[in-house]
Amino acid sequence: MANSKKSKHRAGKNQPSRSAARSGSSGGKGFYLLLAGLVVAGAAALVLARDTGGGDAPVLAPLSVAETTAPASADAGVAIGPPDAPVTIAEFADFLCPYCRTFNSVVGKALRRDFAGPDGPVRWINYDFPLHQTSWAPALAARCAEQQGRYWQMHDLLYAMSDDWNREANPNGKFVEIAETAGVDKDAFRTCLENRSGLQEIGAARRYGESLGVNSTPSLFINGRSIPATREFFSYAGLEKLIQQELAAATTGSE
Amino acid sequence: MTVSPVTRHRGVAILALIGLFVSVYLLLYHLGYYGILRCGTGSCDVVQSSKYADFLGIPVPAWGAAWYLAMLVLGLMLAAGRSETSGPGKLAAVAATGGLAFSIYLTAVELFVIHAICRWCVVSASLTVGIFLLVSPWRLLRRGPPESLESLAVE
Repeated sequence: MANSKKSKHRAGKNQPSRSAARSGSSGGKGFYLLLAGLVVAGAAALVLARDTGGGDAPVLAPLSVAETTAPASADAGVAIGPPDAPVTIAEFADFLCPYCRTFNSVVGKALRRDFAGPDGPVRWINYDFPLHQTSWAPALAARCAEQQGRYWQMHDLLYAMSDDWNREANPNGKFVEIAETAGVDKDAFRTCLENRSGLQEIGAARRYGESLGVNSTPSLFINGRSIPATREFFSYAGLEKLIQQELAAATTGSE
Repeated sequence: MTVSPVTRHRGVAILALIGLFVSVYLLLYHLGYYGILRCGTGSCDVVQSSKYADFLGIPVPAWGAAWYLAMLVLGLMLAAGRSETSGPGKLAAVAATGGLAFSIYLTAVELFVIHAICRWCVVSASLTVGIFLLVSPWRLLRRGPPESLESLAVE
């Protein structure tokens, strides 16, 4: 037994014995101080990394499409322009996508104004395609504005003012302010944010995009055909040309 | 250059503590505590919102936090003098190997399936490799005869 104990001691000679660990007590003290410093620094970083804001507005936690149940639907978009227009442009976009913002402010807005009016030749349908978990909150805000017939005003303001909300932990507080600017009734808007009924529509729009092979934003389709995401086409002149071609083809086809 | 076991295990504890904070940060983001991930270069949101962000129904950062916490406790126990052949030592070796395997799986998913790299995931993968190297599980495999046989050795 004694021999066994002795052998055990030998077997552990390459191991850090407790006395060896204690012998490095000066290093040990430094080590535990370092650990304590890391704990303090890490906790402070976690607290400071959080942006404040949002006030008492309802919070929407980050989501993924898996948390919605609605199936893909071509009707899940929000449209502007005559239902029987000869040209339909479908846009899949994400309010947090910087390129969507640029595209909307430089090209999309002007095209809708010039071609998707009440008697225009274009029906423009916007489909939410939230790429990020935090993209659902602005999409829901736009849907809530839609309930009061102010979708496109809210849509354009969300892009134009995205610097005001895109780093907020709870951007809904800013959305309430933006909704007011867009002419939306604040209380009804808050209620809509709370009951989140628009999330299913957003999920259906995103699934519809997935069914068409959309994997990036903005993605555009003209009369059901995908438009290559190049500068040639994603410009006012490029899209105007495509619209004219579609109109010419529609005219030729009806003759 | 040989690094003493105490130093190696202290290194494990330090890396595990850093990894614990990274995991907690990503977990809090997942739970909605943060608005947008501070990602710098990379596609953190794409990775975090993919279907691979959950494993067996539990967010991957929660698995990471649990693993780093376990490695922190084991690293502290070993740094305090527990033998590498003791229960905690063996557990650390198994956990470090499992952690490395899971990290390789997640990195492969990022590179070949999602086609997006998250900077925080790269940090976590590097910490996991560091912990694996410091724990050095292969040391257990090349140890001498078991104690029961060695006890028969003639002095």
